[in-house]
Amino acid sequence: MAESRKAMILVVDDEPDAVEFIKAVMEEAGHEVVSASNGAEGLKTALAQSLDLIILDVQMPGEDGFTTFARMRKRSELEGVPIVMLTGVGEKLGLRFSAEDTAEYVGDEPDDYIEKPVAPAILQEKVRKLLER
Amino acid sequence: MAKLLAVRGEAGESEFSLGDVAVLGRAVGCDVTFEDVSVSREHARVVRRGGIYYIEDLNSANGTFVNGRRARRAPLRDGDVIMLGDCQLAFVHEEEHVTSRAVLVETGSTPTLVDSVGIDEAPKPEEAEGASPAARLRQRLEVLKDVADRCCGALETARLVELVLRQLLGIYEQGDHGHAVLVGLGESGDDLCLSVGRAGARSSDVGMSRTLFEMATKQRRAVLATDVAADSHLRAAESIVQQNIHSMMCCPLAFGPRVLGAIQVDTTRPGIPFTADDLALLVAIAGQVAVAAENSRLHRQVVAQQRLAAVGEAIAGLAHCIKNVLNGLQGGSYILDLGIQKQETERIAKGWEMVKRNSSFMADLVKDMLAYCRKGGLRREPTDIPQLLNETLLMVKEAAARKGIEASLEVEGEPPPVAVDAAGMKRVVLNLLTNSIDACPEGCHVELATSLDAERDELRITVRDDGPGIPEDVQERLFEPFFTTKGSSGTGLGLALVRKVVEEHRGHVELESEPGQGAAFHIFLPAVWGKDRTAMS
Repeated sequence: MAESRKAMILVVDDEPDAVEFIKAVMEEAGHEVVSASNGAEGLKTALAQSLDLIILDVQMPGEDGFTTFARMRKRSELEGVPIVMLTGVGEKLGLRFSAEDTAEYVGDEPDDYIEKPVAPAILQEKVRKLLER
Repeated sequence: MAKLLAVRGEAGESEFSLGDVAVLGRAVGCDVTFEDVSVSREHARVVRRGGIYYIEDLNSANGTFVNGRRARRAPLRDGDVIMLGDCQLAFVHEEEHVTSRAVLVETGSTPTLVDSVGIDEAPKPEEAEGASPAARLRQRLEVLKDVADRCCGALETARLVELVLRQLLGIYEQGDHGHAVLVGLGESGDDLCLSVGRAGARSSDVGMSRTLFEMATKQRRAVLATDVAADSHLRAAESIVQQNIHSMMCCPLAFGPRVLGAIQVDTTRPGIPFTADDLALLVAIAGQVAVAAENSRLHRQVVAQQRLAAVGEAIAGLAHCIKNVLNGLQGGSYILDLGIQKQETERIAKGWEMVKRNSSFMADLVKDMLAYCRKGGLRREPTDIPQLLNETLLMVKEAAARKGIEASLEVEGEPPPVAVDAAGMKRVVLNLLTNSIDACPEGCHVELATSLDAERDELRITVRDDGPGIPEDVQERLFEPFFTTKGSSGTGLGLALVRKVVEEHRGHVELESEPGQGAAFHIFLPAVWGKDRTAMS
């Protein structure tokens, strides 16, 4: 795995197992992780921290990831913070979920997307590339 | 012999032979009993007087309907459709007719019929013979109206066609046999072939002529043969000669551009042929039957499509559920691996915990799925409901206490034992309690309550909480299989299973909830007491 600078990453996912997993993978790459279990909490945490990257789950009870994504993009405080969408939706609908689909929903594109279940090495590589931009 | 048949629903095959008096209702002492709560305890009775059967309403709550009309007392005729609450029955009185399966009979070359008219050319009514043409006309109008009534009812196509054939033999005095063939409208997509013969007719085992059938369906012509012997082609047709048929009519069953089949009436009696007037009536009746048959065909098609759609949804839901479990297992094994590599006990414990939790979730999912798909009857036994509820409550009390939630049981009066499938009902109550506890924050109260409505013979079980309530859009989807608001910790089968089990008990579930004001799930069950009883539906 390529070395990357240490970063502060926010994981927003309602599934504690998913948070634990991503946290372990990111910590393994030397990053620090904060987490939130829903969109509103995620936005609050994002504004309170100095973040380098956000990993956001699409399917959450209550406010879904698309809505949270749009709300985050509107905040000037979070300008330039890459957002990666995490999804299992594509599989449920029998479709591959793409950046274009997300754009259609919210009028903007996430910086990348990751379909669950994701291999740790791929997750680390995607995050490394985004942090290097 | 006269009998009542359950027309639709699970007990579709049930039948009950009628004697001089039969009381219909939900009470144990009734001759024909129902479990459906829309039927009153003593709803109606069927009595025989002077060879005629009458149905009398016994001041039922939801009324007694015969062919869609409310009736206090009404004579019953063969084929009448009776509604008691939501239960539908058919009255069958078989005395004069013999029913058999029809076969298509080859008649050889296409006959040139003595009189044949296109279906669109209205035949000119002849002056009716006999003493009272007005009376005859009235009788025919009544039959036409009756057929229209029955076509509007929810009779199965086969039963409707059989009744219509019998009615045809009723109005055509010379008619010996009636046949109908509906292509592809049989039980399993085969052709529906029915024959009705008048008792005493020379043969009841005759079939519809294939040549006539093809002429009627392919050319969409209603055909009338007033004198079969005078027609060179028909005379040559062996089957018709063998059956000794003197006159016959055949009419297509057509709906718009679709021809569904044909209907035929014939006579073996010489000298009294069918007339153009007779054919006109047959054309009118065939039109009604075709509409009803097409309606039934479309209904079947819709049901089949809905089934396919449901299977697709279920597979998608299941795939999503399994994928969540796989995510958890993958995450758990990754953390476990890291822990082993780095010799970190805490990580090993965390990873192992995730693996265990997800495997046990998978086991729950499989159990729920099997319970949801379980076929076969309920094992109903007289059950002490308060005790069942208490045992179920004990199963969740500890989990509730851990979350700081109080759970209690409220029993109103002393409900006597009720016949339920105890294991199924325990699962129902457990699922509702677990949902409430999952949804409620600390400090909430979950109440399990039961009461008996003696008036309606109905047992009520309620699970009520003062938690956050259920949003309206969620309420609409709550009972769908695989719909869950619990993310990866719910299979989405809990409430689907609740509804299924309750409906198998012929009860229903009601949800009462306003966001922010808690939620209450009410289960209503017909209180069927322990004894053996013959239930019709």
